[in-house]
Amino acid sequence: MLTFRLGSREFDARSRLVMAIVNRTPDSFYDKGSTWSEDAAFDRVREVVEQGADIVDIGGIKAAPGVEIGADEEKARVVDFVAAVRAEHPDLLISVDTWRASVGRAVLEAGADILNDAWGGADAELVSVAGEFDAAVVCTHTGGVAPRTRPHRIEYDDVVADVVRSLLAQADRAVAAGVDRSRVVIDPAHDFGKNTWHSLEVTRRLDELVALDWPLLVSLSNKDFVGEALDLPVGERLTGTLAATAVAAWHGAHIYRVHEVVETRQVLDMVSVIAGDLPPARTARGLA
Amino acid sequence: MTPGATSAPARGPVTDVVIVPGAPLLLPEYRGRAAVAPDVSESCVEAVRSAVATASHVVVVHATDREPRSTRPPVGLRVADHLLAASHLDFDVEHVAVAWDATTAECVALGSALAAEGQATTMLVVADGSARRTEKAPGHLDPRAAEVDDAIVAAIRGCADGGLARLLDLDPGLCADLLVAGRAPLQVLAAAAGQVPLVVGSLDVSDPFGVLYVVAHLTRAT
Repeated sequence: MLTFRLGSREFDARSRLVMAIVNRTPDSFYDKGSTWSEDAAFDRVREVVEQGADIVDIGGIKAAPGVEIGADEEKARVVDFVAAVRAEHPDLLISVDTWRASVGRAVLEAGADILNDAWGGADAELVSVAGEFDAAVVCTHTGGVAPRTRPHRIEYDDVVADVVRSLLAQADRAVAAGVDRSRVVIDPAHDFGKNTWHSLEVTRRLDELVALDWPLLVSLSNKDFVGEALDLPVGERLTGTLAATAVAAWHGAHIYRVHEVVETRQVLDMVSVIAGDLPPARTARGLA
Repeated sequence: MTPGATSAPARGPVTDVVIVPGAPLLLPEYRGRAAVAPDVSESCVEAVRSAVATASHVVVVHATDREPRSTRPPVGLRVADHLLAASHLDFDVEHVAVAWDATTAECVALGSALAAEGQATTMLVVADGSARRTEKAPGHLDPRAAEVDDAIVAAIRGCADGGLARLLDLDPGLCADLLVAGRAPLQVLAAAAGQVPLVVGSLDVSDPFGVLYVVAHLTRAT
């Protein structure tokens, strides 16, 4: 059975972990800068820890196109913050959403456990840095697009096949670069290099990615594929996100990168209980 | 000997009586991440452990299931075996099933046959009171439940003064209406140990789910 490691902790195939998004950005699509101030970002970390998040994913650059943020500015946004979060939460798993090796090195020195390479290996040195620090790395499928670009008229013969090919290649490269086999996570990256049809197909066929036997991360939260599926704007996509989360959980994905921790935790626990991976919290009905 | 095995009877005078509920929620197989009645469970384990430590010949008296829908052994038997195993002690065990709807005369006959001479014996009686004590109870509220349950508790509490014999006054029909799953085993107990000088060692009464749970350890008066 699959086991994987994040920080000093070990998990198995039945794990369903919540990775809470903490943006150190003034302009991310969902929270629109609500945790741009350091105090607000600290409060957000405390809140999601209290709510049962297993991991925080700290990001200094929004995914969508916009003002260019250089490596120095990105470091200024995240490195000291990571160090402070580590000081306050010694056992919390800390991930940093960055594609830059130089930023990755700085945050790992500051105490991060995971590099979430959301742009599919755009900086080939990133995995070497992760290996050097015995950190975990998240490999993502972007269809080869450049960081911070939107998909435009991309087509695949078989999107899942392309995801599998890309993720396996990146995972192999990470291991070759020195990342421990048990610390390589794969993520099909919904909406990245994908139109809604692609993201829906990836969701529908997620079991094929689970079968690859790497820990699988999904990032579904409030994304456009949910919005287009239901014709709902940002801010009204929670129910759709949770439905997609339940499907991904039933397929067996392991890590869920989300904005809403409480609701996600409940969905994941419910699926885990239905799947028989977790006992119910308490049972008295019909048994008294 | 492992629980669940049945030995040749080596039973004798009852020196210890333990009464526990037959609630499935006491079984590990039905437990969620947290126990729903940890106090009841711990009380049962402690009562059984202390009794078996004194008299390691155990006679389990349990009722048959009222509405069996499976081929599994009766819940009462499984609860008893679980509690005995949880004692982590050595014991010989004999299982005595009484039909849930046995007549009082049948219970008396069965109990009298158990009251033989021999080695010191713990009688482990799996018996609940009414499951109709509250509106949220499994059988909903029946206002008659309280009086019958009070009589059961009073009889057990009064064991030093011949109280157990009053269990023979329980009306089988009324008890069936009130979902008193322990009526027949309690009447077997009354017949088997009614003449034994017993005192209350411990007695916990609760109804966390609208079912009367009695956890009692009665010991031989010295």
